[in-house]
Order: sequence, then structure tokens, then C-alpha cells
Amino acid sequence: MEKFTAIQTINRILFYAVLISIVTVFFFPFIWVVFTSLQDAVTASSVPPDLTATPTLDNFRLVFEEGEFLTCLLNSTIVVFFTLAANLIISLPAAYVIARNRQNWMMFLILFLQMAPWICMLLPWYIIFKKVGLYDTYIGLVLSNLTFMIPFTIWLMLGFFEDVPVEVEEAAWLDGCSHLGTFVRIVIPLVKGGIITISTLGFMLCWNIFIFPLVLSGYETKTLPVFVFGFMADNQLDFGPLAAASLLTMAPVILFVLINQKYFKQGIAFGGGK
Amino acid sequence: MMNETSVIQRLLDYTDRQIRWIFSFPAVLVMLCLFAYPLFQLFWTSFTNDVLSADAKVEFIGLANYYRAFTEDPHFWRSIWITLYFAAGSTVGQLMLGMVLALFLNREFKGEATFRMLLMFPIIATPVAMSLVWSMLMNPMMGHLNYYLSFLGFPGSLWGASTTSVMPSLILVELWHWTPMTMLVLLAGLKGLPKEPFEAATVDGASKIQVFLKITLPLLQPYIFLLLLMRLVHGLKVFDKIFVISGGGPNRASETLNIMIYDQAFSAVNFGYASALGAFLLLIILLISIALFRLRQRSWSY
Repeated sequence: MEKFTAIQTINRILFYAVLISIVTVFFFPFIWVVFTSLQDAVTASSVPPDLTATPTLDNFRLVFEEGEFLTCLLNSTIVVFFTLAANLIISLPAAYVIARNRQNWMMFLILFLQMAPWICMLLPWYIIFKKVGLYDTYIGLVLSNLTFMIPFTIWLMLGFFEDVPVEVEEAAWLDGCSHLGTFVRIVIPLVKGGIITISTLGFMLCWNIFIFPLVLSGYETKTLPVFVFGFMADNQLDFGPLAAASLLTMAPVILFVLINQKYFKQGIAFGGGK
Repeated sequence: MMNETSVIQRLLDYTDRQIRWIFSFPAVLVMLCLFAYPLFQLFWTSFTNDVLSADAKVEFIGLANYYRAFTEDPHFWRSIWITLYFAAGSTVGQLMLGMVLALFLNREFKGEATFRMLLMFPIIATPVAMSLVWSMLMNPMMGHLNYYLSFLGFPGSLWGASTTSVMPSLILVELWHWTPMTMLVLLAGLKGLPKEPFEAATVDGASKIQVFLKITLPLLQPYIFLLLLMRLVHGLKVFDKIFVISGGGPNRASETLNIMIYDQAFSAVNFGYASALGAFLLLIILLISIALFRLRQRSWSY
């Protein structure tokens, strides 16, 4: 009996040892970026890492003093917020209609639109946006983000709408509620979970997108990922400020997703499994 | 008077009954303006010698851009090979690693929630920022990765700075980024499997490897197929990492089709040629989505 528990204990220790090494591999870059962002110019790039150095906030000050950072932070926030709002207004009704009249060709189209490589769409957009004056505007960036948000939202919301029983709607119609009224007052509250899930994932996708603003934004509407890329070109090998800029760029999205963790997990499980 | 209100009322009723058209209209409009018309523009531009200049006249040159890609430009075939290498390498890697991790973690343990939360960080973090972090870590001179390698007794690597190690380095970053996702999906699949076949196999004295090959894999097949195709399509689209870490270099050794299209369009300003390459890439993705759709329909019936 005693021997049995000894083996169990060893097994458990081994399990946690492997577990910790897995976490180390995947989480290590985040520890490194926090550590490096707090170092001064000399110790930030020292090999081996200098664990005794006193932390400093100079790198963060440098990023803020760049001036552009706060503007880009604001731009990113504006674009993400309006994309998510417009996405819900446009995609929810469409997803509802498709859920009630599902047809194979629609499903294929939605799938294909999700897969179309972004660079291919960017070439014509660049020409068109320059022609119609959408280049370097918030509206242009919101529209470009909508092209992946709409198919994705419809795809994800279909399941949620299909779970709403038709009987509930029919009961509302019998009580004299219009189709629009039924949708807004009865159906929407029933798919709230889906709406939060898609907004959480959407926040992440829109905050992180790089290739669209790289091409479609100029001086006026530069977003954070483009800022960080430019910052990298300006501060080559200056690890401290680069780490601080990276950290500041991803901190908002990480915080937002962690707050809505539960919904994020649902969305990820959906992304490959369902 | 009476008549008039009833006309308005009937009009409103009629509109309300046609709500499905009104509901889908905005989405259809946005998609038509941002997909249908631009696609037409993409194909049109691919038949011209557009260089985005106000002075140069855009001329229709037929299939010359496609001819140039397929017969005259050695970089085109090379970039297709590099793209496939990256997509296939990262897809297979993600699935195998994800499967190993999922099998290992398919049990209840203390701290599971914290563990999963930490593992989600690579998926959430801004790819450009993390690519920058990785490019610092992989710096051959000052990066810490080489130091840790030497600590473990391995020789250092040039990572993204050499033509031979740049692709494996990029695939490594891609694996770091997306393996947590394949792992989470496969783990969800494993937890949802029926218990009976496994119990029966244990009673019959099957080895762990036999159980995995004969029972687990076939049962997980729909998940694996879907992941395989979705990760493959994703791999064909990857741009941020390569653009930030290697920029397609050194000596164009990591120039995937995406990077090549971007460079042709916005650095070399061969917009017509870039469009032809883009149209070709789109066609490949179309074929893969048809395959995925067929499989997906099949897996729905499981």
C-alpha cells in the first residue's frame, strides 16, 4: 500500500514538472518582455540577463514621449469600437435571416470569405480607397475590418440563433408583436452570450490586425501595430524601449480578453471544433 | 381618411413581412462593395501593367503578367515552395505537438484553469508586438535564446539571419503562437469522446499505443481533418510574423507568396503583376475551401 502511494507521488511530481516546463515555453516571452522593458539601455541587452539591475520606467517614458503613441492608441480604440458596433448592427440581422433560411451555397460563401487571403483584397482596396477618398480614414479602416468580421460573426452566430425555438417567436407574433419587434425584444436577449463572445474575439482580431492599417492608414489614422512596427525600425537593437512599446501595444487586448475569459474560451473552442 | 391609414398600415405590415430582405441587405451591400467589386478589380488589374502612377497609362496586356510569373520569374516558383513549406511545416507541427499536449493533459488536475489561461496568452497577444519580441530573443548577438541554448549545452543558431535557419525559426514562432489553440480544440475533442471503447480495449489488454492508433485517432478524425485544413489555409495567409521578423530575407529565403505580393505591389510598384499573383493565390484558397466544405458537410453527419 505504501509503495503504491509512493509511485503515485512520484507520478504527480513528474506530471507537474512537465506541466511547468510547458508553461515556461509558452509563457516565457511574456516574462522576458516585462523584465526587459524595466531595464536601462546597458542591462537590457546584456547576455546573460542581469537579474540584479534596478528596474527603471525610462523605457515607458521614452515611448510616451514619442508623442505618436497616444495618438495611435486613440486611433486603435476608435477603429475597434466602431468596427464592433457596426458589425453587430449589420451582422446580427443577417445571421438571423440565414439561420432561419439556411442554404448550402450561403454557407460555402461565408466559409470562402473567411478564408480569402487578406493581401489579395488589399491590392484592389488600395486602388479603390485612394479613388473614393477612403484612404487614411477611420471609415476606411472600419470597412476593411468589417470584411472579416461579418462572415465570422454570421458563422458564429448561426448556432446561437438556431438554438432559439421558433415557437417563442410565433408566440410573440400572435400577441401582435411585429417581426422587427420580436427580433429586437425577444431574440436578441436570448443570444446575448453569442454577442459577448463575438465582441470579445472581435476586439482581439481588430486590435491585432496589422496588414490592413499598414496599407490603408497613413499619417492620420495609424493604429498601434503599425506604430510598433515603425518604432522597431527607428530603435533597432535598443531592446528596452522596444520591449516597452510591445508591452504597451498588447496590454489593452490582453486585459480585455482576460476580463471576458469565459466567452473567449467558448469562441476558441468553436473556431476549430464545432 | 380611414382608407389612408389602412394603406400606411398595410405598407408597414408588408415591409415587416419582407423583413428578411431588409435584414440581410446591409451585410450583402458591404460584402458586395468590399468583396465582389474589388475581386473584379483584382482580376482586371492582373491583365494590365498598372504601376499606380498618374503619368503612366494603364494598358491591357492580356495574360502577360501570368506568363511572366509562370515562365520568366524564378522567384515565383521559389516563393510558392517557401509558402507551402511554411504552411505544411507549421500545420503538421501544430497538430502533432497539440496532440501530444492534449493527450498529456487529458485528465483532471489542480490549477487547470490557471494553466489554460496562461496558455492562451500567445493567441491573444498582438502578433506584431510578439514577433518583435521574438526577433529580439532570436538576435544572434544579443538575443537570449542562444544564451539559454549554450546553457543547455547546444550550439547557438543564427535564427532569422541565415538563409538556412530562417524558415525553421519562423515556423517555430508560428508553432509557439498557435499550438495552444490546436491543443485546446483537440483536448475538447478528447474530453467529449465516449468512454466505452476505451474500457473495452483495456479489458481486452490493448497497449496504450494500440488504443491511440485504433480508437483515439479514428474517433478524433473529424476534429483532425478540420484543424488540418483550417490551419493550412491560415498558414498560407501568414504575413505579420514573416514581415516583422525576416521581411522575406535574408536573400529572399523566406519570401512567401504573401510577402512577394506585398513587395511587388507596394515596394516595386508592379501593381499589375502583384494582382496576377494575388489572383493565383486566391484560386488556390478557393480550391481548398471547396475541399474543406465537402469535408465539413461529411463531418456534420457524424
